[in-house]
Amino acid sequence: MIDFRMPSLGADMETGTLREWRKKVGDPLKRGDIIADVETQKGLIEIEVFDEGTLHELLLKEDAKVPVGTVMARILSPGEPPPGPGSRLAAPAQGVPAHAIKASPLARRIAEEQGIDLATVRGTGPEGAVTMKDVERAAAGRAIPAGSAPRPTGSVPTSADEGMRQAVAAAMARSNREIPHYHLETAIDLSRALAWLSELNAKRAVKDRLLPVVLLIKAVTRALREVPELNAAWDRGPIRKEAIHVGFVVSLRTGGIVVPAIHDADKKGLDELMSVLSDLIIRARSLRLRSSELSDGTFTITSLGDQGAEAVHGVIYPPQVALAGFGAIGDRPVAINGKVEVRPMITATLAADHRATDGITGSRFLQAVKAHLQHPEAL
Amino acid sequence: MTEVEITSEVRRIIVQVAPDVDAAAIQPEEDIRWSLGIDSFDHLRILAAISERFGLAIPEGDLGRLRTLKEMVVYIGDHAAI
Repeated sequence: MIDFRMPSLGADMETGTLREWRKKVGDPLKRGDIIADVETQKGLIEIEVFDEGTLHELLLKEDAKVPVGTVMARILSPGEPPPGPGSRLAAPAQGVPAHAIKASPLARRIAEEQGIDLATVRGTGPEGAVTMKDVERAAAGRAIPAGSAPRPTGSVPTSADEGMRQAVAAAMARSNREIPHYHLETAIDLSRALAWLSELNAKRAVKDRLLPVVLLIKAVTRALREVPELNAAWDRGPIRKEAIHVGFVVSLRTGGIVVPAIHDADKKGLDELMSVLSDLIIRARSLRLRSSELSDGTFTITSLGDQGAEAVHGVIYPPQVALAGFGAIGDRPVAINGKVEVRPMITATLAADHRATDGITGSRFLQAVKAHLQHPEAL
Repeated sequence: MTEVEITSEVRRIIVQVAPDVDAAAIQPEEDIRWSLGIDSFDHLRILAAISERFGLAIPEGDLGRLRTLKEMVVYIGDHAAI
């Protein structure tokens, strides 16, 4: 019998709310199947199973709060008989789906935080789904309880955004408290990489074109193969990771960030990386990610170039030991063979855990990234 | 297709690609990166949708010139067979 536990969903989430079981008792399970939807401060997460067998028992009711590590269900291994006489497959914990009322994840979260019964809110979304705006309208229509403090002028209403902010705050505060960071940076000439990419894109329809960030990610994965000390976690000592799962920081327009992982990023070609990353960003912004995408990252990349920052000095996402940052690509004067030339340049940075590595390791990594970007055709 | 119709269609595409943006915040002459928080992935998807909707082959070198609603509408008017 296998205990299925609530998985870790990253450093910034300790609990979630079970919204829906996707499997019922007696269903066969295989690795990667979605067993449940759990709502967290970072959206509705699809929880995957990593064992094969048959679902024997559901231990929690829908809408239950579930701390990370809680046993949620029991799974019979392939060929394993149900335990003991008198034991039988348990009925599903709750027969009526909790999602009888259609509502967006954001709307559900705001309603829960503000104590609003979704059944009382008229939905204006697709097929009558309750939207965030519907809930906010319902909240605005409620009388302010007597004695409650007035909201300061100009303050933002308490909402899901605040939950997201708290989650980010918890992870970043932990990182800053526990990890002795060191920071390095280097300027990289992207002339060759951009010329190569431009030539490649010229032959393609717009929808099939690649963005420069894909080259950056690929160069980072190559560099991590050469400097594996940075593809690691810290747990009372460095633990190197064989697989390279790159977490990519996605900023949400409603506030906050999520860091979904591109699994086995080093094994993916440029087109596949572009495709996977596009899909991850869309799902991250609609707050629909899988548990493994939030928990499996072994190294993080953040790119703020789109928003104009020239360099980003990041904060490591624990328990990882390093993060690479990229700023905007811009024309800058550089000395080439004793002459000043204007080249498209990018500043690459590294934030690394000084318990796990020293500056010389970080420097080797940045030099490797730089070197790979001079040979884009080999990426 | 009139300029008003093209504008309406481009607005629809932007909101379709980025449903979490405030449609009312799309101002004709503002860079959508700054006003709407559109990143390079969204931008490419918006231009891909415009390319397909209006039958345009947008050269790589033109992508960087299409940052505002107005620039997109003018470009479509100049290049599309509509």
